[in-house]
Amino acid sequence: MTQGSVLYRAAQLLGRGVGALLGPVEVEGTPNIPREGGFILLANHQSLLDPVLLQAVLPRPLHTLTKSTQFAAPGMGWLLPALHAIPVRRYRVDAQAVRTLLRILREGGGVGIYPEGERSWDGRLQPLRRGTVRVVLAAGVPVIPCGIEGSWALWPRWSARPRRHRVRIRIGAPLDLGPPAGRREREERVGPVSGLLTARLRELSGEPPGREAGDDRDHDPSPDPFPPP
Amino acid sequence: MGLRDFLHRCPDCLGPVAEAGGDAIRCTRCGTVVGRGKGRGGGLRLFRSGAAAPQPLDPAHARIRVDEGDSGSASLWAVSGRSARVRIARLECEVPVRANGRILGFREQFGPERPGRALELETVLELREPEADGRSGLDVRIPWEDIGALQASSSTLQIAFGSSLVRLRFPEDPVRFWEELARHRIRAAWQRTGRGTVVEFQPRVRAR
Repeated sequence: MTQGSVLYRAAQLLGRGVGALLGPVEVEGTPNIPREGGFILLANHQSLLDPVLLQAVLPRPLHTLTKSTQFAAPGMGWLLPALHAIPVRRYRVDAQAVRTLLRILREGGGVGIYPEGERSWDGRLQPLRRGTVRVVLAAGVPVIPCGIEGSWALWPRWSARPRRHRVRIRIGAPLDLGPPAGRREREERVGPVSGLLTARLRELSGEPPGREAGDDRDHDPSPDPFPPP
Repeated sequence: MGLRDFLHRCPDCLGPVAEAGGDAIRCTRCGTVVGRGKGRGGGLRLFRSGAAAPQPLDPAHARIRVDEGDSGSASLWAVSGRSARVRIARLECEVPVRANGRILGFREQFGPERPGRALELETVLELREPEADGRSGLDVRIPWEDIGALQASSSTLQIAFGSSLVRLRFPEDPVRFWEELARHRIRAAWQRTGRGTVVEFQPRVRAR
């Protein structure tokens, strides 16, 4: 067992602990993860804890595209690669990140991407990055849509600390988008595939039209903390 | 970071807000308080002055209202000439990140943060930092249409222009306010110069 995999398993255990402490975390659709071969998992991104919770519940290791600035923190340049994070620069089209991603898929690994490119401020799904959809079309592997519900309420982007909240992770059935598409075909299919993925992610993350994102009235009987102004 | 980074205006009256502690903001004009529910909850609540009980607040609706104002983005962003204290860091180089002897990718290596000032005008963004330590200070006027990428990263704003990348930290202003402001100016500049409707700001500004 490599040092990386030992650390990864330790992080999975830690992630399960965090989930139990702050959650609970409920998972549906784990059998939709292929037993072997490369795959791409696309998930909505609501919270800093999404990658931790997701890696903790998946039956196979997941290499996750992670913003490159996180690797600059002390120790992270060593720790994050051990946790299968792939740095991606967000101020330019990062060809090296794409090369690494495609190599991992060729070697039969799983890659996790948050196609919104950043955490949602309000809990709602944001437009998917067209570049991510192009990569998905170029890869030619099963695409697993994954919806995360509740992690915005658990720890929204603008808050300094988490609060307990139920999180539901729904792993959808694999989408077969066909063999790797050439440049011209990719450009033609980016729009429709983006629409398909958006619809699946909305459905799986429990975001029907009109629902208040992050609304927790159905299971929050606690009194409101704010004094009258 | 705080709730003011998300809601930099009062979702009720669009007045200025101040942090009220504990993930809450208070409007300095109408007194409305917005904050997170307690305990297992996490949804936003809005407490209007004089109201008997707080009301749930749809965060998506609040965001749209705060970012775009009552009659679209024009109402909130019509006035240019805002200035803010910033701490500016410049990209020095990119460092390879390796695993098992192979290059996974690269990360940015920024220089030290130095105090400076950002001034937004209708057509340009000015960034200035004083000269210090024998190093020439940054003094650039960036036409909005020349910005290649824009993104909020944690509590900073990253702006790519030409072959440069700068990271701005706003000690007093919400980073999201400046992100939305810059997005609005970039959209307007691209339309003014006939380059189309901007649909993405990262990894590069792209129009339809």
